[in-house]
Amino acid sequence: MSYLRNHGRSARLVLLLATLITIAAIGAEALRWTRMAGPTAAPTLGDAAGATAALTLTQVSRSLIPMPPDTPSAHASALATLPGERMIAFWWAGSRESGPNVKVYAARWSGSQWSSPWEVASRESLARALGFGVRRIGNPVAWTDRRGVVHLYVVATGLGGWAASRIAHLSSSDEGATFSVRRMLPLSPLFNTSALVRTSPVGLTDGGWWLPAYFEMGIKYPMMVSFDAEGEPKWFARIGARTSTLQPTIASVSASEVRAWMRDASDEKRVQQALSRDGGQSWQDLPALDMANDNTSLAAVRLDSGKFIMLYNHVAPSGSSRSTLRLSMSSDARSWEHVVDIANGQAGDEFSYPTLQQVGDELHVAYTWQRKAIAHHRFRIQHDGKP
Amino acid sequence: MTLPELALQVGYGRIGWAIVASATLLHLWPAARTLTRQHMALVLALALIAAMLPGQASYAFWLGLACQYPSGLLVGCCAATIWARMAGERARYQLPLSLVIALPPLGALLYLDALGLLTHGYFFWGFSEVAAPALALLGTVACLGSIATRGARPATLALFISLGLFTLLRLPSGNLWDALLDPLLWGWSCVALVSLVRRKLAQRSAAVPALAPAAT
Repeated sequence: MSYLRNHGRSARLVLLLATLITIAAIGAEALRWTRMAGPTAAPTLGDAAGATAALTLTQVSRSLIPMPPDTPSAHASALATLPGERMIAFWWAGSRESGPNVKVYAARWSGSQWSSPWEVASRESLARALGFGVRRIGNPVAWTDRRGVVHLYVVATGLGGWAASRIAHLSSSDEGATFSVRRMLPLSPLFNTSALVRTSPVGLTDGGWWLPAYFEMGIKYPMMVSFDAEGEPKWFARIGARTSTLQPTIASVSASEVRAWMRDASDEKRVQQALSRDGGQSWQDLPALDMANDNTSLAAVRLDSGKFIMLYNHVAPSGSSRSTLRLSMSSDARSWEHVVDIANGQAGDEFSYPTLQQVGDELHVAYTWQRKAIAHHRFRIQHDGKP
Repeated sequence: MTLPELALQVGYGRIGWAIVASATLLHLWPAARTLTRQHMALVLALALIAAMLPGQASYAFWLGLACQYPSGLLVGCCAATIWARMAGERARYQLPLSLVIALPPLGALLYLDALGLLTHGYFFWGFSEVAAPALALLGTVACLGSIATRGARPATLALFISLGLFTLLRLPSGNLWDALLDPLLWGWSCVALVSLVRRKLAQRSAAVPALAPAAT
């Protein structure tokens, strides 16, 4: 205390301020600890018994989602449910990928047709909300929580290419008509960059969800972020140890077993996979599936019946990496059976970045159509041959 | 995981970058050595006003585009430097020795893990609900003790500011790592460590007596 005697008033003032701050900090932490969340929730599961029952998919319709005017380029669609067995789609569109005028748009599916699209996010709107600049925007991903709030995750870059990406979290309480920015998800210590999203979230029993994400800065690795029912992030984990896989798509097999399938950026060119036996907290890499993947995004979902559906780019002999979009089905998420080719074009055609969404007894498929529009296919799901 | 509200982060970003910018300006500007305390306060105020300008008019908007937010410790180090200058001390834009030694290896591990070359999930630990806040709280109390017994030294003040921002408000991001380190601060500490090592080696060379020529 001789320091205080020797340095007088200003030193005592500093000490008083520091003491008050310390007391306030202790109080703040104590308050947080009394409100700590309970155990980690398990993923929601379909009907396990139904996983082995026969299932038929019958295409009901196919169309292109209406595009906004003057947007020759469109890509990276996402689907989310809305109350009343309706659905909302998101995608980016503009002059070209990474263009300064690229924005995220949305359209609603009413059960029989799509609405006109509207703008939900742009570089300018994100920058205004965040208080700092956004250079370009990209992949949107969406989830509707139990209260009907639509959560939208948008890739928004800092200085640099997609390696400088961050993930903006927005939410809407009016079925996607308007969104407000919640935050940038803090996923990296490197100026919070190189985190992106692409594939659909998975619901949890407590109303929360898992958001698949990935890191991409030369090295690529998949990860997932767990959210609670209010959309607050709770924890996140890296999926496996590979450094050439990205864009994981996740499905729960049981309350503790979760599988992830990844886009492959290595020379192996196969769908990569990983397994978690503790509800997503830790993962082990598995050998690749015997399914082609020439560095393209894929989608997987577990239907309410328990069956697993995967949509990926099969590489046909006369085709190219993204000219065929193949739908396969599995009862156990291990062995897959070809069902139908959703899109089959010539070499150079692009039918890519698929996304899947079950709404009632329908399976909705959306994907990028030639980088110009978003295609939508609707299938009726029939079990055991029953309508 | 407890994350700060966006409005708090926006305010922190503007103020934090203003402090970093002021300390940098006072270091790089030769005439700053002769500035009075009032002039330095004016520099800080002007930096703050410029940072608070709306949208693209603010330099903080562009710094945020590139770097998002400065770490609490970077802000603390810069604030401590300004504080020392205003108190009339011959403060240089210099990191405290303890940070020069600790930050390079810690940051290297963290960034190697974030880049995917390690798989330990170090960054994720910074969000833990009990361990990270408890460590931060212990650090805050330790800093308070040091201030009480030895005064507000630059390293102590910088650390106290960063831990205080984290424990009270979870700034800048809700992660303890982001409170204690960012790539700018890490780069600064690495350069300082290299300078320190070179200085020590030079001192050691100078201390070795010259050999007398052999008798012929």
